[in-house]
Amino acid sequence: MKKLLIMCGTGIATSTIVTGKVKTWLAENGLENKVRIYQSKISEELSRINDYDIVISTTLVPDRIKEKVIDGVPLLTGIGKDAMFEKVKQQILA
Amino acid sequence: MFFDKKISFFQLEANDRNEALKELAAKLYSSNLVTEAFYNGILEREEKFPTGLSVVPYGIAIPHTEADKVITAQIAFASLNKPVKFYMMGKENEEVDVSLIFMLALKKAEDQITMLQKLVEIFQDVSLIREFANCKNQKELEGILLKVGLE
Repeated sequence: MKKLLIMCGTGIATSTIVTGKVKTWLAENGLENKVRIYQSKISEELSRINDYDIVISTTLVPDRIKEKVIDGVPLLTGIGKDAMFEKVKQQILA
Repeated sequence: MFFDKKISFFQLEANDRNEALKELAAKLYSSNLVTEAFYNGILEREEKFPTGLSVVPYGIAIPHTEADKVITAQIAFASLNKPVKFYMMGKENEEVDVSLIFMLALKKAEDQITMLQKLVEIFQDVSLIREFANCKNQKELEGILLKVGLE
């Protein structure tokens, strides 16, 4: 089972929205048994970011981890949502 | 329940982002919904983790801060008579013209997930955003909130 981290600045607002959206999407795509979701704030996760297989963030992340992180803002605006989910799917199935 | 204290502004006059944020935070504070530290918390957060969202047809911002500065969970709403610039969430130094502000005074994540999900549905609905931008008073606002299940 892959470890999926969803993080934002406070760990209570936008990461909650993204977590809800991702859970629904996982269920719709029969992927809910493939990942375990963790929700947190960025300040608590930067030092252990490599513990996770997949990371979605609604806040900007430092350059050194940019490669690893998927932008979660499309789930708030709806713009670019499908492409974003496609990235998550690829990483789940990788 | 997140809008029941009626912290709302219609066609608010503000010269910049901080002026608008100050009006909303001050009303939340004078209504005893947040602590005195809330406003500075909002400014600091906005600086570090900006909340502007580039949605159609009007930009929206959802400023918020840590739960320890909130007494009672509530959302303050403002439509602006002219847009102010916010930095965009998750982007580096990109600005967006914001016409609608939903200031989130939030407590625990678990209690507010349904509300947050409904709020985001609004952001993805052009005609609803237009309704929020055009509503002129508390009564009209409550009509829209009721329609989207956010009373």
